[in-house]
Amino acid sequence: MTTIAPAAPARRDVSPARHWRWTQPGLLLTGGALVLLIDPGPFDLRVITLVVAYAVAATGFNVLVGFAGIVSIGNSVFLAAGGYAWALLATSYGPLVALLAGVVLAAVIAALAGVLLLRLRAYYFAVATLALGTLGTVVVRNWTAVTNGDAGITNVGYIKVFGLSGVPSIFVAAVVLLALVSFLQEALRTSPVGQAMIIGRYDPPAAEGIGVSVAYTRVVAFVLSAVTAALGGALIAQLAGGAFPDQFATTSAISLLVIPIIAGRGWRWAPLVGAAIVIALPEYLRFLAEYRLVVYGAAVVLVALFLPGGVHQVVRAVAERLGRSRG
Amino acid sequence: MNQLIYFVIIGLGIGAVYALAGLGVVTLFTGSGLANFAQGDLMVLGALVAVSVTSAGHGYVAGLLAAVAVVAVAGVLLGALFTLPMRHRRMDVDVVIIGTLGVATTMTTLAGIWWGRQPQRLDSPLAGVFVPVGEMRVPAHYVLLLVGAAVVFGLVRWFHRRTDIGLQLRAVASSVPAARDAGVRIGRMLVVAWTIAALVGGVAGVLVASVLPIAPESALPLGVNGFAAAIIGGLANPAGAVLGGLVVGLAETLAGGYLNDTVRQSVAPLVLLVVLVLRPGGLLGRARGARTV
Repeated sequence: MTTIAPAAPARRDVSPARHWRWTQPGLLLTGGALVLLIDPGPFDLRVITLVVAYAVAATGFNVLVGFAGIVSIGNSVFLAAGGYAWALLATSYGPLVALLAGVVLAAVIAALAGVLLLRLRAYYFAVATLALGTLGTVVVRNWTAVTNGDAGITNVGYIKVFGLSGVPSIFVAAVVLLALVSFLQEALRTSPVGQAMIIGRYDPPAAEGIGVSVAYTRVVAFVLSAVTAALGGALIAQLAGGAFPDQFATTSAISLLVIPIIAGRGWRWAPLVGAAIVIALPEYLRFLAEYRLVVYGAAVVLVALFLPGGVHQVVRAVAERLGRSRG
Repeated sequence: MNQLIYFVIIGLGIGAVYALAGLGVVTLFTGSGLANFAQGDLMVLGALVAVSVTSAGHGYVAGLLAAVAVVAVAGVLLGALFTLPMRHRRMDVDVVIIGTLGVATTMTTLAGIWWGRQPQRLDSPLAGVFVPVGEMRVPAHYVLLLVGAAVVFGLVRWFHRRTDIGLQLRAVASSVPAARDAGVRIGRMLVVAWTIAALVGGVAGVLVASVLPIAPESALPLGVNGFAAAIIGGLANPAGAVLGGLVVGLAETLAGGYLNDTVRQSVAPLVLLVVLVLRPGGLLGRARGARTV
C-alpha cells in the first residue's frame, strides 16, 4: 500500500488572523505614556527614543521584506533623505514641511530606483541597492554645498509637541508616528494591496494568474519602505542634533535590514522588538567594551542560521505550548 | 599618451584584485547558491595576517603562507557553520544575506580589536623595482598583481576542470538533487566551496595590501567592488568576474587619474547599476538576473 506524505504545514510567516486594528496603536501610545510617567534617566530615554525612531524607519522595511519578500541593503539613502531634508528645512519652514519634503524626496528616489531595479532577482537586487547606498554616501559626503560634507549640518531643532521640550518631546513625536505607521501597516496587511504583496511573494506566476501585477506591488512596497525610512531619518537627525554622513552609512542600512528579520519577518511587532534588539542591546552591552559588536554580529549569524523566524518563532512556540497545556 | 599607459597598467593591476574578489564571490555562488557579503573581510583577514607575519621579521613568502593557512581555517569554519542548517531545509535569500552580513560585522570588529583600525601596508617583494613608461615609472608590484591573479585564476580553473572534487563541485552547481543522486556529498562540497572562496579572497588581500593600505573598514568597499566585478560578468561565470574586475579597476583608476576622487569612489557602484539596468544577467551571463514575471 502506498503511503501518502501529509501535506506540508502551511507557512505562517504572515499571520492570516485579523486583529482589531486599534489594539497595537493603543498599546504603543499607552506604553509611551507609561515611559514618560516612569521618567527614566536622560540616557535611557535617549536610547528608548532611538529605538522608537528606528522602529518607525523599519516598519516600511518590515512590509518590504515580510510582505513582499524583497531584501534591500540601500535603505540608508532614504534615512539620509529624511534626515537631511529635516536638517535643511525644519528651522526655516517648520516641521511639517521638513517631514513631508523628506518623505516626498525618498518616495521619488524609491519609485525611480524601484522601476529600474525591481525586475532583478533577489541577490542582484540586494547588491544593486548596496551600490545605491554606497552612491548615496558618496553624494552626501561630497555635495558640500547642500550637505556640508563630513562636518554635517548641526542646530537642526526638533519637533515640539504637547508643550514638551528636549528629548521627551522627540520621544512623544516618535511614539505617535510609530502608532500611526503601525496602524497603517496593519491596515495594509488586510487590504487588497497588502494581500497582493504577500501572494506575489510566495508564487509570482500564480499571482499574475489571478490578476495581481507583481511588478507594481513590489514597487509600492519599496516606496513604502522609503517613506517610513525618511520619517525615521528625520527623527534620528533631531535626536542627534544634526545630520551627519556617518549616521546614514551602510551600517544603518544593515541595521534596518536586521531589525525585521531578527524579530520575525512580517510580524506586526517586528519593527519595535527588532529595533530594541538591534539598537538598545549594543548600548547595554557596553560592559563588553569593544567586543559588543562581536557579540551582536554573532547573535545575528546564529539567529539567521538556526532561528529563521526570529523572535516571533519563539513567541509563537511559547504561545502554542501555553495554549496546549491549558487544554 | 604615456600617462594613459601608466593609468592603464595601474588600473589593470587594481582590476586584477577586484577580479580575484569577484572570483571568490562567484566560486561560492556557483558552489552553494550563497552570495557572500563577508568576502571583503576574508581579504582583510589575509592582508592583516600577512602584515603581522612579515613585520615580525619573516619574509613575504612566509607572510603569504601564513595568510593562506589562517584564511583556509576561517573558510572551513564558515563553511561548516553555513552548511549545518542547510542539511534540513532550503535557506531563504534574506536570511542568508543577513547571516553573511553578521559574519562581516563580527570579522570587521574582531580585526579592529586585534590589529587596530589604522590602515597598514605590506612591503612588496618588488619594492623599489619600477617598470619605465616613458618618463614615468610604474611600481613593478602592479605587474605582480596581474601575474598573481592569473595564477590564482588558472589554479581555480584547473581545480574545477581537472580534479574529481572539481567535477563534483560543478555537479552541485548545476543541480543539487541530481548531484546528490549521483552520490556527491553535498555538505562537504559546500565546505570545499567556502574554503576555495576564502583562499582566493585571502590571496587577493595579501596581493592588494602592497598597493592599498588595508584597514578593517576596507572590507566593505573591497567587498562591494568584488560584487560589482562578479555581477558585471554574470554572477555564475568565473571568466565574467575577471572581465568585470578589470573593467571596474580600469574605470576607477582612469576616473581618479583624469577627474577627481569623488568620481573615483562612485565609479564601481555606477558601473554596477548601469550594467544591472541594461543587462540584468551581467555582460557574459545568460538573462537569468531578471525575473520573467
